[in-house]
Amino acid sequence: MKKNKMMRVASALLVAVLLTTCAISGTFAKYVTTVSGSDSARVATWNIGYNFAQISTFNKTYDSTVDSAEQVVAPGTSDFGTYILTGAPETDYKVTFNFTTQKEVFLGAHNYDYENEAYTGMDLNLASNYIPLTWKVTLTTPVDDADITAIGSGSCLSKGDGNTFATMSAMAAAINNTQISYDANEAAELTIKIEWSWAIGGDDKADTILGYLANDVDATNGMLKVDDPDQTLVADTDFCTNVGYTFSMTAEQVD
Amino acid sequence: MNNSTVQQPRENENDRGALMLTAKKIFWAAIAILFCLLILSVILLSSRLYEYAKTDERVVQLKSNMDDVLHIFSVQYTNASGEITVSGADGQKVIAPGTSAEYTVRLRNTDKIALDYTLAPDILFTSEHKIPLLVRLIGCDGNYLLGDAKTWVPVEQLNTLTDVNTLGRGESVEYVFQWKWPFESGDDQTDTNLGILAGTSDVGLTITFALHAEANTSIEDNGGFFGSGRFENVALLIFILALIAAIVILLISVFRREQDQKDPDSNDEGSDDTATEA
Repeated sequence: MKKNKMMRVASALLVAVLLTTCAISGTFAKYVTTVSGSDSARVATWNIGYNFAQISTFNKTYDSTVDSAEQVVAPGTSDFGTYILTGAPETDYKVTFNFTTQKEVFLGAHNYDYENEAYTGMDLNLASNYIPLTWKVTLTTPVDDADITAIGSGSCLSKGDGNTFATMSAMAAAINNTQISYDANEAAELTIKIEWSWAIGGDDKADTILGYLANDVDATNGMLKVDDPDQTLVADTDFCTNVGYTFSMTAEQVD
Repeated sequence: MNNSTVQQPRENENDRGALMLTAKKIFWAAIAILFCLLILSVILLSSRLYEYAKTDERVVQLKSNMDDVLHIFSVQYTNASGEITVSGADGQKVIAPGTSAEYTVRLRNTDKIALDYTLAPDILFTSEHKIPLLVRLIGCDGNYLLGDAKTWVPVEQLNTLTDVNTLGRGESVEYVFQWKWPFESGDDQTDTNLGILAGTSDVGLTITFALHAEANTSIEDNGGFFGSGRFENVALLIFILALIAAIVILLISVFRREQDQKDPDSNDEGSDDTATEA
C-alpha cells in the first residue's frame, strides 16, 4: 500500500513538472510585440502670384492735350505700366524677365526736303535714326543689390529708378539680362515699373514728319523728296509710327 | 550435516538486502530530485508570467539615431554647397523637387530570446495627389529590397514589400531607406501644380515602418542547446531530468516488485531486509 502511495506521489510530481515546463514554453511562444514608426511631410508651397496692376501703358487721351480714338503716343505724352510679382515659396527661387520689342517709333536717317518751297524751313537732314521715345525702369524688391545680377555680359537693372534708356531695344537688353535671386520663404514683393515719354522740343522737324507719316504715308511721300534720287519711305524700314512690346516675368525654383 | 548449504541462503539474502537498500536510496533520491525540479520549474514559470504580465517594454525596438522618432523628412534641405535651398515655414517638414535624404532604420532585440520579425513599410498620401518620390531600400544583409544601385522605384512600391527575418538575442540590424524627388523630373508642370496646391490644401505623405515580432523558441536560433541565459533551455533541461528521474523511479519500482515476488515475506521499503534462516 505504501509502495503504491509513493508511486502515486512520484507520478503526480512528474506530471506537475512536465506541465510547468510546458507552460514556460507557452509563455515564450505567445510573446508578441508590434511597434511602428512613421514620419510625414507635405509638399513645399509654391505660391508665386502675378499682378499686372497697370498694363495699359499707352492711352487714348493724355491730360486733355491729346485726344484720339485709338491708343496713341505724341510729343509731350508719357505713361507707364506696372508689373508685380508676389509670393514667398518655401524653396529658393529666381526671377527672370522677357521683354520683347514689337514696334518702336523712329524716323530713318535720310535727307528730307519738302517739295513745297514754302516749307523749306522744315527741311531735315538726319544723320542717324531719330527715336523720340525714351524709357525708364524702376525696380522695387526687398532683396539686397547683390542678389540682382546679370545673366550674361552687359548691363542689368538695378534697384530704384535709375535705369534710363534712350531706346526700347537698349532697355530690353538690360531687362532680359537681369536675374533676381531669393531665398526660401523670402517674399518677392517685386515691382517693375516701365515708363516711357516723348519729350516736347526734341526734334520738332522729325516729330512733324512722323506726324505726317502717321496720318498718310503716300501723301507724305508726295510732299517730300527723300534723298537724291528721291526715295519712297517704306514703313518699318525707313520709319515706324507704332510702339509696342510684350513683357513677362518667370519665377523658377533654384536647386 | 553439511554447514555450507546453510550459509549459502544467508549470503544471498544479505546481497538482496543490500541491493534493496541501494534501490531504496536511489528511489528516494529520484523522488527528491523530481520534487526539486518541480520547485525550480514553478519558480521559472512564475518569473516568465511576471515578465509576461508587465506592460510592453518593447523588447524589439525600432530605432534610428538612438531615439524612437523616425526622421525620414526634414524641415530644411541644403544643396551640395551647404546652402539651404528648401525650408518649411513654421518649422514644418516639407519635400520639394530637388530634395532627398537617406534614413537608417535600426532594429534591436533587447530580449533574452530570439525573435522572428516582419518589417513592413507603408506609404500613405494625404490627398488624391500622388507625389513623384523615388525610393530605394537596402536590407539588413546589404542587398537591395527595392530598386538597385542604378535604379530608383516609385514610392508606392513600399506598400508591396515585407521583409521576414530572425533577430537573435541582443542582435541589431539596419535597413537603409533612401528617397528623392528629382529636380528635373521631366514634368515641371506637375511639380509646379503640386506646389501651388500645397498652398491651399494638404498635399503630402506619411511613410511608416511597422514591425511585428514573435518569440523564436528554436534551439538553433537561440545559440544552441547550451546557449547561455535562455530560460527555454533551462525549462527543456528540467523536462529531460524529470523524465530521467521518472524512468529511474519506474525501473526501481519494477526491480523491487520482482524482488518482492521472489521473497514474498519481505515487506515494502519500511520493512526489515535482513534474511531469515530457513
